[in-house]
Amino acid sequence: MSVYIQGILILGMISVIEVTGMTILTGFTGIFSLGHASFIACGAYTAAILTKNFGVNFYIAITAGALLAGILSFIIGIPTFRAKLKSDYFAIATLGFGEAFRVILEHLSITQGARGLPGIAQHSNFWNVLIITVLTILVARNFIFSKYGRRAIALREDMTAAEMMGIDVYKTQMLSLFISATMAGLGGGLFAHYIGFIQPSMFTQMQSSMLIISVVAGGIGSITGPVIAAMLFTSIPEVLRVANLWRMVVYGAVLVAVMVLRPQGIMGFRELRLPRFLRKNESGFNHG
Amino acid sequence: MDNPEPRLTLDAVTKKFGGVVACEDISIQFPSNKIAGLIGPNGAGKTTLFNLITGVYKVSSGSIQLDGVDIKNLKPNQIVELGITRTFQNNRLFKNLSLMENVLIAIDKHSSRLGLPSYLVSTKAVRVLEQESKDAAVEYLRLVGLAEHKDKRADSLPYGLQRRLEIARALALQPRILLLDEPAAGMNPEESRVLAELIYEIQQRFNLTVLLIEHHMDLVMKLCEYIYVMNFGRLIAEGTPAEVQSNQLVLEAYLGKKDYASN
Repeated sequence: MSVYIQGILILGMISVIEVTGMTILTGFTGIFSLGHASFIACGAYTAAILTKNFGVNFYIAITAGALLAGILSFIIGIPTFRAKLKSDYFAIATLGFGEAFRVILEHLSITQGARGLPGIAQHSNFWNVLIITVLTILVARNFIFSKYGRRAIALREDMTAAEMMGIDVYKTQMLSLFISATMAGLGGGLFAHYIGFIQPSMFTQMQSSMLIISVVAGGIGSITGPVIAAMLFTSIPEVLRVANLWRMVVYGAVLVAVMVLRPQGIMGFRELRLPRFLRKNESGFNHG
Repeated sequence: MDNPEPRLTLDAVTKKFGGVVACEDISIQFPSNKIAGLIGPNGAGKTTLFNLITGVYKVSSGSIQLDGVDIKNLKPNQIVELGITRTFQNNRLFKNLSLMENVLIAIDKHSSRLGLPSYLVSTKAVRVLEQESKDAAVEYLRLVGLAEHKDKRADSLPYGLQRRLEIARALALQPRILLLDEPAAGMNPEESRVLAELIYEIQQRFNLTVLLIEHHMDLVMKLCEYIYVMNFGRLIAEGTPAEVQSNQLVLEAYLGKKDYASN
């Protein structure tokens, strides 16, 4: 496999990790965030600073980055969910939060401001990213099929009815936000250690939108759909690099095509599954 | 359940929406472990009363007590915790999920032995527990006669069966008090007769305190041992079915004043 192809796959898988988190928040809990770039940035900077400045082990560093991103999500989650902000109101709050966080990164000395952090060791490679991606998807799947995941889905389906089922709306929303932020942070840490250089302008609202787009295009209520979409949307611009600026037009056209032809997303509510004879005692959610 | 006889008491409960008084000065001591009915013309404030009891709305003044403890400031999920559950006038099922999943969400409330980390790695204990929950869910579905549809999507069921699913879901929460908001709405006489049997059966089996809002008078008169009548946000009468049926105020509320008819 050429280094170039491998590079695309690595970036694609990192995007898959981030999108998987977003799937839990948006696809299964029904909450739209436009500020997830801040969590990616938090994970990227934390992990990079830990390995670069403090010589911390790579895996410990990305775990710390992921956890800090999760903790960062409380700062936006606690006030907004307490105030019962819903749908677009929450999305706008996170949009502001994401931009504010980026500006903070531009003015801190430890992040070296807008100049960015160069010389991050390239610890991420095809294999460790692949393993982490698979593990992330498995954890997301276990979460969705657990009672915690069912609570999240209940919120998406009908918040009032969910409350009547004894579900604590606030806690459930916070948990989904925390998990999605953690996964975004994990992706960020891997990204920093693959590219080797990070700066605040890499983590704009554009990137947050990318995550949402992948979830919606892949199918709200599906894990595999967004995974496919994330791989697709990372590779399309690369494959079309020869077409120069036109690639973004094609990218947009693909997106519009998905929305027109399959408004429920590539996978809709369904999952890509193993053929029946390869499955053992399947007991998943069947969204029919 | 630790308390076999739940005492649900409303004391001078009033609810205002701006200048509109939806419920005014309502005091009721509901009979324990019996089926009581709440009737009245449309817009009388019956559903508002349910929303107040279950914490969906906050009362403007007065108090709602369960076993002597004021529950008016609790959140809906905390009130469910105390054993009060309800069904909705317009079905509020989790439409995109299967029947099984709808009931599982209710069962999950009582299966909190394991924490999130064990779920994330899906330990053996988790899988055993999940299977137990699923078996329990099937039992509740069987109780309302829906077991064979367990893998269908909730919104694929005909309306009458959706109501049954709502009842199964409410029962899975293991309530002491069950509030049913127009369970027979949109049903023909035969369907509502079968539903009445089901309500009676589950009340007996779980020794529940049932409070039901209903417009099908034959169902109310047959099922309820005690009936409350509301009109324009006020409680205008209460008593046994026979007493209520001969009450002048109730007849006026439903049919208008007598002198209108004679003039």
